[in-house]
Amino acid sequence: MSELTKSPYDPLLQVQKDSYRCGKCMLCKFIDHNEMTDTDFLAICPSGLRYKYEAYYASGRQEIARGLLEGKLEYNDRLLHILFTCTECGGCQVICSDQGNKNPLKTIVALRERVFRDELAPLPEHETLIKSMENYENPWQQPRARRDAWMRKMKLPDPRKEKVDTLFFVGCTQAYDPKLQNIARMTAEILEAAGVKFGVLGKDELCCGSTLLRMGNYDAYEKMAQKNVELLNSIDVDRIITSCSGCNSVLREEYEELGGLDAEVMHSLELVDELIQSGDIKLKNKVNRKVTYHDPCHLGRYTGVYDAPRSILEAIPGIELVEMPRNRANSFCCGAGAGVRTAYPEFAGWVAGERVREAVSTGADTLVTACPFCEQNLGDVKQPKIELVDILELVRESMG
Amino acid sequence: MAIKEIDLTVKELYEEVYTELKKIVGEEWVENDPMILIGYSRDQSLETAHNPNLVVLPESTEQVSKILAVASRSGAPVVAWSTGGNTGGGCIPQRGGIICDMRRMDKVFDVDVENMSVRIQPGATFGKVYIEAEKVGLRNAVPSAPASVSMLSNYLDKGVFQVSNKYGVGTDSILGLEIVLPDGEIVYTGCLSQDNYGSICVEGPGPDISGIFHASMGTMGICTQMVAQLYPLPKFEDIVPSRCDEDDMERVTEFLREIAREDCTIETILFQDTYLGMGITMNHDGAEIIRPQLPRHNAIVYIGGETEEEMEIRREQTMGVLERTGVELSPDTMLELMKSLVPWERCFKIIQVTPRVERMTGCFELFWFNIAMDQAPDMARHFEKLTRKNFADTDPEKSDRPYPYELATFYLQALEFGRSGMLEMDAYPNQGEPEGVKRGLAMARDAIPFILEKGGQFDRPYGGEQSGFGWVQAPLLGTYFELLKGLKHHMDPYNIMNPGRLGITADQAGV
Repeated sequence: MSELTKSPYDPLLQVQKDSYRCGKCMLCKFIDHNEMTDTDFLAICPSGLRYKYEAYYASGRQEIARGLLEGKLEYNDRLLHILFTCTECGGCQVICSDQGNKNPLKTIVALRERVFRDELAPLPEHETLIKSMENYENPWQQPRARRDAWMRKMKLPDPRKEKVDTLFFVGCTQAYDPKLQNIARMTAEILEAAGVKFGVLGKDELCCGSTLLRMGNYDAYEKMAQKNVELLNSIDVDRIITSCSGCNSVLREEYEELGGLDAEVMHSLELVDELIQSGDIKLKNKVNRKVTYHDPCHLGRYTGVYDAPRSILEAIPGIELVEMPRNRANSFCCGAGAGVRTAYPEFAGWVAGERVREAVSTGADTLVTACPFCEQNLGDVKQPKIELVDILELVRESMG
Repeated sequence: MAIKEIDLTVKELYEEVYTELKKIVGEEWVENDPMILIGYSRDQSLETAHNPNLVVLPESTEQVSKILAVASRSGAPVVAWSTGGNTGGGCIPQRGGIICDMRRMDKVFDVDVENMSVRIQPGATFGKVYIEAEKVGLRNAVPSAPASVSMLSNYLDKGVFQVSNKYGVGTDSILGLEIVLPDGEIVYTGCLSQDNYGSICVEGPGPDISGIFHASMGTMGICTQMVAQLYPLPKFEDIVPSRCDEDDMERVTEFLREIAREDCTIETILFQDTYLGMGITMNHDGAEIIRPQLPRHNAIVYIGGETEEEMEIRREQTMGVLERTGVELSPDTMLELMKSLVPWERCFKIIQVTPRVERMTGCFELFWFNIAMDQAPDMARHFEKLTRKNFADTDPEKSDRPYPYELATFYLQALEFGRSGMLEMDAYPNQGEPEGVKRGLAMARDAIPFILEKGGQFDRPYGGEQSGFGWVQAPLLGTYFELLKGLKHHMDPYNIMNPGRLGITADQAGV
């Protein structure tokens, strides 16, 4: 047990080596140099770009971890601001992990877990979400009975009662947010049209636990995730798809630590791309738009899905795809992730504004993405020069 | 507020300075919270971490001037911090004080195509400047440092570049400076000394006082603007990898000198096996796998020209030097491997990450000095001996290795057409492991007398007070050092600018 934390378990001890190994090369602040084209868009770290001080970059947060481990720092409110303005976008991680297997993102996760164990977190703004998770098993304070509201007019099979190949894991945000329920409906409609045999869990679907994990409440996350792993592994399907990037990364990557899921996990875009390539989805109508694609962090950097969305866009007749200066692994976060939009809406809005500014710089008339959180946050930016749409909207429009 | 007249406690002093600085830069850009301060406590070196008392982020030369005026009145030390990648403890606030974080001043003002130069601020990185220069067919001299590093600081700190075999060190590429002196006055040198000078004046005017700021590590003022030379970007380019065995230091040294004299290359880099292994595989494990396939020394020659024909002439010249010096051309498979694994089109231009950074296990001790080329083989062999002494692997499973290669290395480069050389020896202990730090410092103690005895010259005042390695050259400099102390005292009477550097103690500084 570390003497420097009240908790019997100090998560920082797990990342101590990485913290000390930070070589202060400062590469974690920028995109890959091979991808540098526009001096206006070189930054990769949203909090560092906004607050500038070293502590708001991965390199500075490593020093904070060291200071806490050595007992040279005492907890204060500023620490919480530094930790919880990180969107955990993984931009620093991409570049740093190439330089000798260091792991800044792990340090940030460990710092959050530590302050949560020592009862400095959750932040007041996060408390509602966490209580909602305890009471309703979703972060949005919505009753379980309304979880299937998005599919009220649809008749979708329950995979526990009817044999299907695929389970569509909808996720809390698309299930409850009236503005985003259409993404869940579109996913279901497209799958139906392509002849995919799929089912949904309706009211019995559980939250993936992402909210708890990103806010540092690891114990509660583990319980929730374990319950979910057991539920999902009890269902006989070949694959689980989700159209939420957050659920996608948790189901795919994080559950591995808990033994993993038996079925293959895919993002809905990967399946849609396969169905387009196989001819099961026919894109007939022209969609005359010049689009740029925003890679959601949890779809791109967390699970490496970069090609499928681009392949879909290229397959839609009439679409011209132009890349933003920061794309794929070098994509700039929308600013919503890891509870930032809830706790620091002004900062989250500033980051989204930066990303939309970059999108506008390409000359595109449409900003396309594939994540409910990105859509919420980017959608709040008032920018008449560019329209924000979900990629599935374009697919459906082309399918007719 | 004047510390010399009023007996303030340190806490009261910094509270007053904090209030003053807020008036200059605004509340958002000055901080005294320990969570913020600790981010400025360490760099790449073995130097002990130390926090500043305040951090301030100016956005203009005028603000820097006002900050230094406040510091000067209060006696608070000031350490300038551009991008924080210093390799010698240069921006660790050894005595606390104010960190002047220059990252908000990161503009690349203009690229002067005709006069092949660029005007930049301290926060502008090599990567950023490279992109702007590349647009007009030019390039900056790029050091063996990442694209994230401040070009201005690296040039001022006499950075050694891959092009140094022709053009010399960083300070040789400086055309003009804007410097804020310790009392807040602003001085302009070289081409910036007169409004309409363009970029044609390199030094002076007249007796050149800009040298007082070169390699001064922020001890004479804060540089807020620089005009620097740019170089042509070849339209055609290729690499010629060559190889040399472990015991052939004489041969590889001769090759480096000859290739520099021949003036047929754009850049030449000597990689040791571990360096090249890391460069190709980008990680320690991969380097260990590939290392046995590599010879100890790998000289990578970068050639190019305005036309393909010109490049081929350079290739022939390079082959001639290889033949004369008996250094072998690497097999084609090596070239193919490098081209397939390394984004080599840019790896000589802007370095994302150097093998040095890839090797980092926490920090490193660095000996970087100039030396006559013919001394280099002896010196290198002596370093091997010291490395074995201080870093011998005690793990019986690895006892076949003289020392873990990831823990130490050396690097040699010819400067200015082979007139002299730069030898660097690095050790890479982890700061979290006291034993490693002890070994690193012990090696430094062993190495320094030998370097000085052989005529090696440390031209930068690296090293901190805590490790005991200040500017090791200082005691040997006699009248030169006395004059330097006098100038320092005249310019910075209260020794506020990065105190502890230059080998000048508080007493000597007259405080």
